[in-house]
Amino acid sequence: MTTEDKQALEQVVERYRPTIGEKVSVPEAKARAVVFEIPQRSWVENLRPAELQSLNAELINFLGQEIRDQEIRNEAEKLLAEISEILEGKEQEDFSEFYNRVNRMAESARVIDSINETRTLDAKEQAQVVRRLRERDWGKLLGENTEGIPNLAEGDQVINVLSPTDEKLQVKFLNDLIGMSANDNLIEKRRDFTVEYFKDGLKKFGISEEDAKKMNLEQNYKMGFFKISKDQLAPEKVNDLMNEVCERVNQAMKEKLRPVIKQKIEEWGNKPDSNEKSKKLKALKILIENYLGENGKGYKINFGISAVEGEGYENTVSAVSQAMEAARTASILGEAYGEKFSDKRLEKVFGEIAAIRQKLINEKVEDKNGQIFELFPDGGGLNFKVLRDVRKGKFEATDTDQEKLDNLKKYVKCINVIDAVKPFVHEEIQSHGKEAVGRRFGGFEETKSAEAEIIATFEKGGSGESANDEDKEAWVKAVKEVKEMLSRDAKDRRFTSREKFHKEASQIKNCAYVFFDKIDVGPNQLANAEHAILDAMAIKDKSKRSKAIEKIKMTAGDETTEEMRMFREHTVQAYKEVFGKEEADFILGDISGGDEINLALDLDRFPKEEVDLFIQKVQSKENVRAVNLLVNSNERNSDSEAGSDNRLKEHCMAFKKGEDGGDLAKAVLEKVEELAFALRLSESDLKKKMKELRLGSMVVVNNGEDFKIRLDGVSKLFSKDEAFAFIGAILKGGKEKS
Amino acid sequence: MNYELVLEIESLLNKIFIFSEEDKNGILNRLKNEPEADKISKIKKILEETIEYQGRLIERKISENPSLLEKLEDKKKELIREALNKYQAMLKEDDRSKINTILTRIDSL
Repeated sequence: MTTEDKQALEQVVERYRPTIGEKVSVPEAKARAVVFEIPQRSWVENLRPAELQSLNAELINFLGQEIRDQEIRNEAEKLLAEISEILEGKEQEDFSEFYNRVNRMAESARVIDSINETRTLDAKEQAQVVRRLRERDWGKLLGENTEGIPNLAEGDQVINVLSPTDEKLQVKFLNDLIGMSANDNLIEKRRDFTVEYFKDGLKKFGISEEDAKKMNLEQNYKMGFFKISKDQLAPEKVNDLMNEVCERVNQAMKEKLRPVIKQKIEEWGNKPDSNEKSKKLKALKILIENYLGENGKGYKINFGISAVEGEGYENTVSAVSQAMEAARTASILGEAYGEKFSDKRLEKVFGEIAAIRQKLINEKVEDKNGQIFELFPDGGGLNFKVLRDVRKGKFEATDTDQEKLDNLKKYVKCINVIDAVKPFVHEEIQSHGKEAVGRRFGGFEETKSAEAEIIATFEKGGSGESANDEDKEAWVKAVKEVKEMLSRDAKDRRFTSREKFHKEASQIKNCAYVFFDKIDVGPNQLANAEHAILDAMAIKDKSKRSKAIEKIKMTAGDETTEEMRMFREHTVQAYKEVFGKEEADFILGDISGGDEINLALDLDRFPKEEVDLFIQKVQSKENVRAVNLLVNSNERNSDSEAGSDNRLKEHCMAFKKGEDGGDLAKAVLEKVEELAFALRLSESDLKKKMKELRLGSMVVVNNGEDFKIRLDGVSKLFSKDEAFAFIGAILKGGKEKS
Repeated sequence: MNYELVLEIESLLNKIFIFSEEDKNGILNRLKNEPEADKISKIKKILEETIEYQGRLIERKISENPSLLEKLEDKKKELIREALNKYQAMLKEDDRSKINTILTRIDSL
């Protein structure tokens, strides 16, 4: 401002200085505002908001550029994906799918509750009950007919048909890509096509549809089983038949999958740009171009065949396992759709495992975060973290390490050749046979033929007016058995069935949910299999090696079965100790997949402190890092009968919310791993620090607000960031001391 | 448009440095057409958590690399200097025009 200007301004200020009570015109007031405002403020205050914002924005951008490293980019990507999901309504879509599933389950439980000795079921209800009864075991694999004759007997050829094992066609991958409902439809189509073409193929060999129907033992979401006796069709013809079935399924499924993928491409194409969008479009286009085109890889399913070589369950189980192994061998070696089981082929896959390991034994792999992993530390099995992430398809290698990653994927797929967790262990089958098979479904004492009778009674329908006394009596008996069987879990009768759980839990007005999640069950199982295979392949003596391989085949999954049983046992024991023996006879719990136990506790009956004690007791028995849980107290807002739909919705919301808590607990454990790696902590140091961290007693709690982390003996509840800071401080402290 | 909520989101986004400019603009543009206040509130919560996370992050980054703080201070000074220069230039022009307006007004009285 020039001196002249200043003087002019001062004159104006002087002349126009307001006096009390003075009235001025509007233009005059404005002129005064200008005059009195500007000279009296400091420069910063006079910056207009727009300029202030641009200053802040520039500083923020500068900061971002300076420190945005891979870790931050990853975190940002997660947060952006979360935002995208909200904007795209995916959350809502996921919830609707989940709610519909739970609603179907609760509905099924209502049907079971409504059955009584005089009520006749309608056709839909009847089909529902029969289906659930059949789902209770390995279909008819180990079942018997009403005369007590086993469904699978000496001379039968067992055929296992396996859904695609290619990672881009696996159930989980497609669930994420096209949604559960669309994928459920495709799975159903695959099952229908397989059964239809199987029956069709048999016609050529003069086998009637009625007989073919009896050969269909089981079809589930992942695989199916058929049987053909050697007298009905010679082994080489079975091979031809199944090759043709698989080829037809491949072609038919390509036709079904193509429009679904195209529709998804269109849907995503219309959405605003986002990382999520580009990822999805890329994955969808790969499917169209590399799989569903004329020369594409196709929708390849596999089959395996094995014969039952003798009487008894041991032979049946062996044939079933071998058929599954043959299907996987075919999928790995990739030459044909399937094959008959042979030890040589299995050994070839085991040989691949040893060869890949040999090739990579001294190698390291770098992930996209810049972390470097020794692949086979101390010359042992595959690095556990790498194994875990490759198994989940989560490991992202740098471009230069892609070839190594491809080898690792093959390595993990090869180990998975013996993936079969049975509800019993080999020793039981050997020593108890029939009893073990009867008992494996949670201690029901009925024989398989009694079960077949119950199913037959239900297939006939209810006890109508015209039923004779014998039918009426059979119905009364069957109703009693079915109500009991279907209300309880098939694996462990001390828990409710999943259907009953959802129905009952949704009715609890003041409910504490406890979600136990035993982590790393799958990777541990793979690691066990890997070690057993490597040990066997290291045996030089051919016959001793064959024996070792035979043992692997028969005992595959046994350790996991035992581990899961122990997990349930510890839960029941703690339940008994805290809530009483009688309460533990029928626990309102959902055993989900074996490695998760979800419980609903009525807070009006069980005080919150007891719930805490119960959790503590389970944690004290289970491996510290193996249990990951949260408690979520959920007040129901809706009341009375009219609110039952809302209650089910609230129950589902609590359940979904539980997943967020689970994610938080996982994030905390991942953080420990990440920091331990970054700080190069030794195994023993980490063990010591884990005790100090008290993560073995970690409970993620939610009392209506955000999730917080509770640690035994620490009164403070930690938020995620606080927990990370706590972990960092303790782990770093350990480093300095050492 | 949920005007006030979107403004809040804009102000939160301005504080976030772990997202790129492009991502931030993307979020804002999509929110301007978002009719459901519930969705915007959920996003607001995520952004608030993001800012909390950033706070911890910057503390950690500075403790790992103390020169980062100096760099930031330097940048801040540089930006303030630039803004001050701009303001002074603007003030000169504005003052002249305002005084002229006032003088014209005085003359017309």
